[in-house]
Amino acid sequence: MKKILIVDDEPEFADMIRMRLEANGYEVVTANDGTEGLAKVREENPDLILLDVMMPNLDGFEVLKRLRRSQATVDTRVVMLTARGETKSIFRGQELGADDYLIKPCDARELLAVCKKYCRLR
Amino acid sequence: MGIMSASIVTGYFLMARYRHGLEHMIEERTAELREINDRLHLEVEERRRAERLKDDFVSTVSHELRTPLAITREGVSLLIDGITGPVNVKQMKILNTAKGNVDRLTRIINDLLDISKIEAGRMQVTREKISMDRLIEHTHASLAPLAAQKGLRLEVQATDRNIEIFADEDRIIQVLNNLISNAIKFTAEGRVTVSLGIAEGHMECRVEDTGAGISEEDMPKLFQRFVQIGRTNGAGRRGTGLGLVIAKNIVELHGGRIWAESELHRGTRFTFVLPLFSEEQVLLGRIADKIVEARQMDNEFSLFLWELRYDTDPALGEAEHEAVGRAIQHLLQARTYLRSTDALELRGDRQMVLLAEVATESAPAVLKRWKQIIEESLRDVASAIDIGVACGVANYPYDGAESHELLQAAENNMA
Repeated sequence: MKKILIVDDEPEFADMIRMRLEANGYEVVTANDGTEGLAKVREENPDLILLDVMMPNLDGFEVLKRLRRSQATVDTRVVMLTARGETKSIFRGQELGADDYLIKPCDARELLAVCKKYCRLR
Repeated sequence: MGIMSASIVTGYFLMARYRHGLEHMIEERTAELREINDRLHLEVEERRRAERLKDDFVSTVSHELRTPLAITREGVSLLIDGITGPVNVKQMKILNTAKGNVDRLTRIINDLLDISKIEAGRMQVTREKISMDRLIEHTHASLAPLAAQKGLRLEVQATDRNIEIFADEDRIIQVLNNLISNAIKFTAEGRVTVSLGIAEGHMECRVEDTGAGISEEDMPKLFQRFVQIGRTNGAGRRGTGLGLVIAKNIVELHGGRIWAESELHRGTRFTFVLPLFSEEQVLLGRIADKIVEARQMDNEFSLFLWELRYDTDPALGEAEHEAVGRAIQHLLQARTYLRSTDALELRGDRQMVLLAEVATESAPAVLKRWKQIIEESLRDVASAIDIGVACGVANYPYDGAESHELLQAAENNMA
C-alpha cells in the first residue's frame, strides 16, 4: 500500500483529503506545519508528499528546500498545494524541485490522478 | 600708493564678504534641497509601504476566504461521492445545492480578487502563442450543455482559420466564458452565435444573441462595476456585476478593445478585438510583464533600445547581421553581468531591447559605458565593416507607464 504524507496547516482540510485518499486505498499521515512535516518524512518515509505552500513559520518552499538538500529525501516525490492565480508559486516550486502542483480547492479526480501518477513512479 | 593699496585692500575685503555671502546662500539652498529631497523619499517610502500592506491584505483575505470554501467543498464532495456511506435522494438534493452554492461563492470571491488586482494595476498575465480557434472550440464544448438546457443553439462561425494571438489562455477563456454565459443567461429562445475572424489586421471575436437586448440608457452602465443591467429575462443566477468589467480589463491589458451593440427585443452583440500574434507583440508583452513586476516590487527599470548602424553593404548578408547581433548580446551578457531578472530581446535584425533593473539616475552613465564596450568590441568582431551602434533609453515609470510608450520614448531619444 502506498503512503502519502499531507503537510497542511489547516487540519480540517488535511482531514478531508485524507478521507478521500484512504477511500482510494492509500495509507495517509498528516502534519500540521513544516517542522512536523520534516519530522514525519523521516519517520514515515512516504511515497508522496502533498505540501501546502502557505504555512506560518516554515512555509512550503522552505520545507521543499530542506528536503532537496538532504541526500535521503532529494528524490522524494513532492506535489505543492497552491491557491488559484499564484503562478509565481508554481514557478518557484518547479525551480526548487517540486514534481508537480495542485490548485486548492482540489478537484477529486485531479487529486487522485496526480497521486496515482507519482506513487507509481518509484 | 598708500591710497591705492588701501582701496585694493578694501576691494579684496568687500569681495571676500560678497563671496562669503554667496557661499552661505548656496549652503542654505543646498540644505533646503536636501530637505525637500529627503521628504520626497519619505513620501515615496510611505506610499510603497502602503502598497505592500495592501498586497499583503489582499493575499491574506484571499487565503482566509478560500480555505473554508475549499474545506466545505471537499466535505460535501466526499458525501456526494458516497465515500462516507450511502446517501438518500433528499440528502443528495441538499448536498448538490450546497455544492452549487460553494462554487457560486468561489466565483464571487475570484471576481472580487480579480477586480482588486486590476484596480491596483497588478493583474499578471502569462502570455504565449495561442490558437483562438482552439479556445473557441474549448469554450463551445463546455458551454453547449448550458445552452441546450435552455433549448438554445450555441453556434460557432469562423470566417478565417488559424488565428493566433499572444495572450494568457486562461484569461481569454475567462472573457469568452463571461460573454457566452451572459448571452445564454439573457436569451429566452433562439441562438447564441460566436464568430471569429480577422478584421483590419486584428483578431475579431463576436458573441451575438437573440435575447432581450439592452436599452439605450443602460448601455453606458454596461462595463461599470457592480451594476446588474435589468434585462427583462433576468431570471436565474445573479452574478457579481463584475464579469464584464473584468473582461474589459483583460482585453485592454492585452492591447485590445471591447464594445457592445444592442437592440431591445432583438438581441445583443459583444465584440472584442486583439492584436494578432507577431514578434512585436511578444516584445510588447515582455515589456508589459516587466512593468507589472516592477509595480509589484516597487522597482524602477530601464529599457535600452540598441540599433546597429551601418551602410547597406551588398556584401553583408543576413548571416553577418545575425552574427553581429549575437555578438552584441554575448558581449552585454558577459561584460556587464546581466542579472537573471534582466531580459534581452531581439527586435527585427538590427535592433535589440534590453530591460534592466537600472535606476533612472544611473541609466545615462550605464548607457555610456555599454556603448563604449560595444563599439570597442564591434571593432574587433566586424573590423572589415563600418558598424556603429546607437542607443536610446527610457525609464519606467518616468518615461511611460505602458509598453508602447516606453519603446517610443527610447526610439525618440536614440543617439
